[in-house]
Amino acid sequence: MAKKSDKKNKKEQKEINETKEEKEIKEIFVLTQTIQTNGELKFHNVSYELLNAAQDLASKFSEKQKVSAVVASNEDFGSIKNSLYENGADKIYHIKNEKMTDYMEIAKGIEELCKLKNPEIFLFPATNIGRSIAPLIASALNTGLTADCTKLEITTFKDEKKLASTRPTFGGQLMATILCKNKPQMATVRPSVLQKRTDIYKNDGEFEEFIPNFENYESRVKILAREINKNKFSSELENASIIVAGGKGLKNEENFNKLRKFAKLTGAAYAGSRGAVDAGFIDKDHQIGQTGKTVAPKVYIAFGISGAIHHLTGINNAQKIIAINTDENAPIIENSDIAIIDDASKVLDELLEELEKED
Amino acid sequence: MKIVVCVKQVPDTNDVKWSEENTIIREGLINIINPYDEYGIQTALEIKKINPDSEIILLSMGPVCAKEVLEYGLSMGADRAVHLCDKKFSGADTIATSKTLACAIKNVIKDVDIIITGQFAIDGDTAQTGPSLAQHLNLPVLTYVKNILDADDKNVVAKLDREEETVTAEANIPCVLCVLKNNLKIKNPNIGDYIKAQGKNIEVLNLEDTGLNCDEAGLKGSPTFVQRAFRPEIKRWVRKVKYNYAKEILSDIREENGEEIR
Repeated sequence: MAKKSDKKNKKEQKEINETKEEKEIKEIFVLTQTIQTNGELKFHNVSYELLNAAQDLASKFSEKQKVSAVVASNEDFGSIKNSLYENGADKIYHIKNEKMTDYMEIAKGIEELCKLKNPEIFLFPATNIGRSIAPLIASALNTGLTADCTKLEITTFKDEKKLASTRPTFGGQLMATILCKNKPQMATVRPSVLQKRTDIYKNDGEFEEFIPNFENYESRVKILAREINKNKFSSELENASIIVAGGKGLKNEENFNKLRKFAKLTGAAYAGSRGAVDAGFIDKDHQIGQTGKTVAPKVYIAFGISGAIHHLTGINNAQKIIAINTDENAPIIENSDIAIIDDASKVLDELLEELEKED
Repeated sequence: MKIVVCVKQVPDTNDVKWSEENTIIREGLINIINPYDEYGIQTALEIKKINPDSEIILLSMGPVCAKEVLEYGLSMGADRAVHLCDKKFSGADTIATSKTLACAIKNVIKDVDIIITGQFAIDGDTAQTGPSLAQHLNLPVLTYVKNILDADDKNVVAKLDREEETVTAEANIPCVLCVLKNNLKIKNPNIGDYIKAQGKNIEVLNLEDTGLNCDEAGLKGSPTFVQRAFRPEIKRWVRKVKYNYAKEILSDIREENGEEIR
């Protein structure tokens, strides 16, 4: 008998909990990122990609679930504010404070906002800033953080709706779906992994300013100089529709110069594998793969890249992969749409010749 | 100056074999030092050049075989090592790992000035342990460190590579630095270095020694858990092209470019 009433009590308790949960549905937060392009302030595309993903999660979580864009910046973004609503934000939190000069303080400000609002889920861009501050916030809130996710879903675990984050692990050899016991359930996603929406979500929404008080906070990092890297457009590869990439199979620097020439002539972005970067043929900023960039071009042409799994995880979202390799058994071959079994430098020469002929 | 370098032993993921049951064959898998951590050790050696009275302490959490990377680091020139080795540490995610490292630093190694970690580890590639460690120790952190410009007993000045911008930043000591690969030449230990390293101390610590609560370590102390693991699918149908390579490739580019191609 005792057991039975226990069960009943539990059931009642559960119902109470459920109604409680109904009442206080926590938001899904998305950290946005601003960038300066030719002196113009814009939101990094990854902000829109994350907002769209968050809205998708929200619809599966609960009808009343709200998605909030978090902007942590002292810059005036009034003129581009609406793009956040258009791309999936119900609300914007603008965190500002004069003391917020670099990553440490931005993390502190976001931590304060989280303590106030207790979001259910928090998505971060897996960019330089996102990867630097998300772990600071996760540790401060004693919650879990899953890095570089390639897929975000809602799953039911022990009667509770949970964020299920899938990511490549073990150098990309294995995919793991990871759940988080605590809240907010945090995840980072790289640019170009998810898609932004094609229609307009809404034209306007809520707006709240949040000024963290930084009580007793003393900055221990001082920025002495900032230098814009003019030759580096980090989003160039991530936004490219055609990418030509070279691996160790291109063998020498001369061939990489040819690759650059070919990229220039065809309007493509150029890139390399980890092997090519380690060999010094190409700069680390152009590295594709797990410890480099994730890309989603329409056409990806791999010259002499064997296709180690950590490279393949970076090109998974390419629409068409053309692989050129002497080794028919190289992993890139079965992971491509078009395969050419031949010497990559020879094919590159042929291509340049063909282009010259047409000129 | 007391410098701790966190190092991780990782499987050489370039060389993974699969069984017919779609599980990773662990036998014969080669373990290496995470390449970013090699730069961490080298960075510490550079700081020691500017501050000759420095002591470099390696810190690693891992199974018994993780001793190999500590021995390697000692032969590179580190002074001593601490090995966190206990079954209770296993299954730790980045939060539990960084908490464990933090406890060892705070309670056992003590009074540390600079903590260096690799920016990434090539197996998990989360880039989280360094910043998390800083948070648990309540220390400032510099991420994406490309070069150390200066280091004394008050500050470290470093160049940070943040893609769109290069930042010169100064952090008060004690602090955490997460380093990228850079143009430092990694010291290649010779037999003499290995022999010398054999005389250096590797201190092995278990959970109790670190002073960490049992509930905060390993799988138990990890806020995240793996629900399922699976092998990535191949989703392409390859067509092999035998002739007219150039035309085939160019027509694909042209299709994408419209008339833009010249």
